[in-house]
Amino acid sequence: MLKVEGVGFHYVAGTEVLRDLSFSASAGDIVALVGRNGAGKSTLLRLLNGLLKPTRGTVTIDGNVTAETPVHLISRSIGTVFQSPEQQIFNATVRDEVMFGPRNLPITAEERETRVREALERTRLTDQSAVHPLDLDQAKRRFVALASVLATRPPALLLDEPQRGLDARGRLLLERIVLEEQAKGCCVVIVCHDMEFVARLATRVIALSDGEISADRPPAEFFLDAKLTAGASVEAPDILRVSQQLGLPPCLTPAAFAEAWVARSSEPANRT
Amino acid sequence: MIGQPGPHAGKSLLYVPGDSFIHRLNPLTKLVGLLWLAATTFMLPPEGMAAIFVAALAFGVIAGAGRAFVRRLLFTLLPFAIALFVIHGLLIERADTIDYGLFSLSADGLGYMGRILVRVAALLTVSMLFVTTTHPAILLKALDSHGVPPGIAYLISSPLLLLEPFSTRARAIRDAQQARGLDLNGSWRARAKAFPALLIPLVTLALSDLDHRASVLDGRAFRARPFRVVLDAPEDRPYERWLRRTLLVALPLQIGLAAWL
Repeated sequence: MLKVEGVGFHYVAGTEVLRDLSFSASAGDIVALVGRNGAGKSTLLRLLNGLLKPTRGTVTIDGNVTAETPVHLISRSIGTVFQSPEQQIFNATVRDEVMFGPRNLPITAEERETRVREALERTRLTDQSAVHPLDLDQAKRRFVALASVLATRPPALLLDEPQRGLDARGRLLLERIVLEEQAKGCCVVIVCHDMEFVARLATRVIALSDGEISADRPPAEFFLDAKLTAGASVEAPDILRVSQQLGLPPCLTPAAFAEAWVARSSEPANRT
Repeated sequence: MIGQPGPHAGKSLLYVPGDSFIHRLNPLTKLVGLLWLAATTFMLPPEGMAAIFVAALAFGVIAGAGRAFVRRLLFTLLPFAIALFVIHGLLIERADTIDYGLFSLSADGLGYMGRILVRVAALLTVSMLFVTTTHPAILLKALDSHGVPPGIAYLISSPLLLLEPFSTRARAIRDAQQARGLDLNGSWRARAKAFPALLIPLVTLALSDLDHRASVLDGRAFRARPFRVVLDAPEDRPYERWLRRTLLVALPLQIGLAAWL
């Protein structure tokens, strides 16, 4: 689905921002890109969606080499939700804004309508479909941007800090959508600074440090290795620390924590 | 990704860093010089305008901005020259128009086109000399240090100051729309169709920014005092002050003389 082979990139000759990156992601993967600011996450994201072309190596999305494929065609294989949704909004209604992506696809008008309706329903925007997107709050605008990408049904999804500005309900909805996409076989790449979010959703964590991949592990392995987390300037989720302090097996989600807690409480030695 | 200072940050200012004597001039001297030259251009014959154009270009090269000058002049003047040629050379019929079968040409029209072109070239080159050798922040300091009210100083320098965030945002919008399948490399029709998707967010965001920018300026007591104190004002040499005064006196005299003659 998504293959990065020996990729290097520089904005200014002689100063490489990314060096020799290699990884691949398959359908159903949820890959979290983590690392400190300036580590190269956003640049990597722009290389994945073809907005930047690698100066070394190749990026292949759904069989298309990004360096040889126009961006608008790459967008059919990989949808991107950027950090600031208002930067892309230009239509007078939410519905028209969501329709923008499908309009750029070679599909029938009927199919477009179906996709837009479904995307609005999934993002809980059906009731606001006639509202001007800029009249919505920040969180809803983010979902407008997400809906406009979901409506194109890309096989891969790039989300740049998607949980930023969302309240608890919004985060739950976002998580549900990401998991639905995973279940459909979509490959999701998330740039994220929220490690609780990463721990709950990701199937893999790729840590970038000074333009290189410093770790590519499942979340449990990554967060349990203090060297790796320190190298990527991230902190393990609180729930993992609490579970360790209580002598429980490492838990990354509240559900896993509850399960471990119940299991320990039901051990004969712990019964009172 | 969008909204963060990207790899192009700082490059979208027209300013070209350097240490030439033009760079070192006080921005107000350059601003007054620009005004004087712009006004003078309208009073000179084509040869005089051409001399101003060549001199400004030469100074631009000396200031190390030659490449920026040539690129921008080509991008601006070439389409303008073509449009002038079509309108004044081919389309407008004059007494001396000669019919060549497929097209007709007028020598008078071509002469008129040349005069307009050289005037615009002179104005553009002089303006570029100013913006490529004057950092907007230094211009703002120079205006503040000379007692120009903050509102007026901001009004003069803000077009240059806002150029960078505006360009960064324009690039971010372009990226966001391309990532949603907008074709910017297709036919002219496809590009024209893509235009609203790029322009509307740029304009709406610029308008919504106005309110935010005003609040930030008010929050920093922008107009609390009629004048601002600048601790590191750009150097203002005595000869520059005299030069400015001379030019400011010469300006109305020249205009009066031109009107009288």
